[in-house]
Amino acid sequence: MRAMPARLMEIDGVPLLRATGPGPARAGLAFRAGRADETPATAGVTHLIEHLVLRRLRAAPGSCGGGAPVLTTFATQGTATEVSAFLTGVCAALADLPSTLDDARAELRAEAAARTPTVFDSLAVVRHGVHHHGLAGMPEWGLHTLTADDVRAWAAEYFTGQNAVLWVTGPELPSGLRLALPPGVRKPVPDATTETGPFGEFRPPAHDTIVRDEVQPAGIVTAVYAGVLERAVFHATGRVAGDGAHRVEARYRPRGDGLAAVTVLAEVFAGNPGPVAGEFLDALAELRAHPIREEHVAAVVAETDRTLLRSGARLPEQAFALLTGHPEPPLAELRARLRAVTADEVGTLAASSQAAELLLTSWNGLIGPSPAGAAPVAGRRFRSLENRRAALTMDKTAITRTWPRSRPVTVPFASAAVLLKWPDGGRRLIGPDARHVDVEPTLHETAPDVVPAIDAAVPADRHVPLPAREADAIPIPRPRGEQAVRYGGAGALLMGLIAWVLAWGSMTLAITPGATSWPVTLFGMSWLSGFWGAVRLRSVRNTVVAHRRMTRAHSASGRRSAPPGSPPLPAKAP
Amino acid sequence: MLPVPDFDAATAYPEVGVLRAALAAGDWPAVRRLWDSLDWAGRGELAHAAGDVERPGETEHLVTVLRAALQADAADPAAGALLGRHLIAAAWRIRSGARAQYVSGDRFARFHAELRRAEEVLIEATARNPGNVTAWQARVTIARGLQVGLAEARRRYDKAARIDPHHLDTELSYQQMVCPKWDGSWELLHAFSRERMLAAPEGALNAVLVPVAHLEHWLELSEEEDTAYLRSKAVRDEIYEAAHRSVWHPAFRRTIGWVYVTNVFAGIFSLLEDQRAAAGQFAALGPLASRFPWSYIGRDEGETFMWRRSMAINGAAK
Repeated sequence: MRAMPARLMEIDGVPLLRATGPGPARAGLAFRAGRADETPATAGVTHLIEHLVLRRLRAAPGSCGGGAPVLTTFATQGTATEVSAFLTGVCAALADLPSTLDDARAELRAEAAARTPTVFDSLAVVRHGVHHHGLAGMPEWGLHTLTADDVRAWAAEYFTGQNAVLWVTGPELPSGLRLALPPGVRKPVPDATTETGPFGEFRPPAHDTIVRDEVQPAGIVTAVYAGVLERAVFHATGRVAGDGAHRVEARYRPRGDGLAAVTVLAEVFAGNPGPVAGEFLDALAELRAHPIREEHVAAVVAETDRTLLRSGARLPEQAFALLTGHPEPPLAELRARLRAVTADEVGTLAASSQAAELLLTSWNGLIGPSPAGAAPVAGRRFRSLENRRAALTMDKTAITRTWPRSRPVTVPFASAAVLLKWPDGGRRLIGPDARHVDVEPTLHETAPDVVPAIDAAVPADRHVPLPAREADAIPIPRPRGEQAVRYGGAGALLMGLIAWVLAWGSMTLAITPGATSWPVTLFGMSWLSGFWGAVRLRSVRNTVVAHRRMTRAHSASGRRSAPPGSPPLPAKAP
Repeated sequence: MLPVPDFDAATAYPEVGVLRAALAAGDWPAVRRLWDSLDWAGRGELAHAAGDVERPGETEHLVTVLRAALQADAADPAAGALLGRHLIAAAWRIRSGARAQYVSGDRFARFHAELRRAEEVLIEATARNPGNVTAWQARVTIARGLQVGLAEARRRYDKAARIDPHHLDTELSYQQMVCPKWDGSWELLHAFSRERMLAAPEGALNAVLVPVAHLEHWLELSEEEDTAYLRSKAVRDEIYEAAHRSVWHPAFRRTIGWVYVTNVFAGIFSLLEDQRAAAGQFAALGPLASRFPWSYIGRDEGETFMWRRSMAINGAAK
């Protein structure tokens, strides 16, 4: 479609981004609201509102809602009259949210259960912790307890005329379109500058994955840089990985605060991830050390330009930019700037890539484990009923979980990010470093006053009450003798095999480098939650790997006995 | 009176003494002149020397000099390789020479953390100079310490081999990786060792890979089996074949690395109780000793060297 330049007008105080052209009308009503605005206790409220509205508009074909961490858009396409009716309907539904939420709750739970977690879910938590953008990688805990009043209050604050932008492409909409939204204020994008990570452990959902995530100024140069990264890493890892054995992706994701996350990752579907990781890291070092190759920049610029042209007038991106307070230039200017991007500019970004860099792998080796959190406490000790060397230890300030061969995890009560509460007495404390301690009275020799003491010690605004668990979701202790089976080689191997078979079935992804992702993942929704499910398998696997490492023989030898050729203990006397 | 064994590399290789003096004086241009004048075998010897610096005070001075050189020129190939190798050696000293089951978890964590610091330096070094064989050789050793697997170690080995296909230090580093105690098997170990021996020109040092592989195998066997293994016809034949291709070959030269090679043959001939052959190697060495293979054969390298040497001389005289 050959798009006309966008013009800025207003409807009922809502800025209108407009591009004319042939084809059906397309429109999106975007709000500066998303997961990053929520708290653990309200997590999911924006998504819930989106579903409540779309349920009311069931009849509108081709419509959907979508959210990035700081943006929620109601979008549709059709005739001018249909589009107009959709927009009026969205506003009406927002003004009249229902008093019963159960059906929408059930819908969202089903959606969460069906959703496949992505690498970016885990990355969000590792970068941002358990708040703001990090919540995008966490379950929607608020779904269970939010009331109709909570939802209305949230809508009144975030889904307002001053916090919205409308974009429309295609033929003129019927005159007289009204957007009856309540008055409000433009909500600022949450400040993420102090969230530099790493928080907790990196847990990609399925495959061995290596990730480099960095923070750069948002803009077209950085978008080109992401494309150059993808090319360089793909070229390098292709030397060592067989066809179909891995996937490389780079994403440029503006955060709305003038900065952008630039993420490059390689997922290894089969075989040892070592050489792919080695080439990955070497490719990043080469980009830092040498001038960027002109032909790489030229190729990415051409590819990005084609994407820009295909995206029409980039109205969704412009809506994002407008709502976050960092307007982008008109398309013609943007394309001119794109074509002027030089290898030197890209090289400057590459050279500064380590400033806020997170390097993550799903296995320990080249990349070390994330830093240890708070120091363990001494105090009352409650033995695990499952493992005699495992325990919870608690004093007035914090609680520590110890498990053999694992690093202890400590969550200080005063700085806990979240306290999940089940009616059966189960508790999960999540620390400011995103690590957690589970307090399951069924699994520990806890005293009756322990859970009330934790509830009293954690500030009330961190409490997240959850509904009763199914009976089979409440853990029961396995006799100590079964530990060998639970964490032993055979069981873990079987689980690994099942996971591998499942992964293989879904492994038809293209491995050619794709176009760099553009700001607003409008139709690619990122509502999350299956994250914790993936964690268990990984932890079992890590346990087995750790065990193998500890028991494997380790002598190093070589030219001199002195390191790195140090010999094993003297074995044989003369 | 037989000479006391001298384990100082500088006795055999004057380059090491030159390096030490230049580093002590903080004379980086002198270090660079020396580095630039040597082949990769010689540069590997300099890297060993940087790794051997372990006394308090000397270590800090060395790191300061090397970091300053990198500060002045991030692409300096000598500074990156020497610093990387020094950090690796320091990491290995944390780990101690003990087998894994005797090393505490905390030590392992610190060992790995130090190796990753070395890797950062070496990633930079190889990115700046993809042909820096010494840096790649060091990265093969890191691959072993960080247990990143055979395939990644091989990738690093191949990067070095592309520049210097018969770099003995790199072959010895990778050879450790194909031992069963790390990521390999006896089949892989012996196949690799033999293949690299045959690939190298006759008279080259590389044939030492074969007796080293047999010493690794011998060490893992119980005392009931080990002597029988070493003296089996097949193993004996391979050891003598290796000697004929190296220390007994007319083209054999006393180039950097020869002291290690000759010590290995002296040691393995002694274990084979071929005292005449062992005595020949000891005679060539004079006082020049390397820690390996004596560290495998006895508790104290110096005493073992002298004990085995006296057995060889007495045996050869009979």
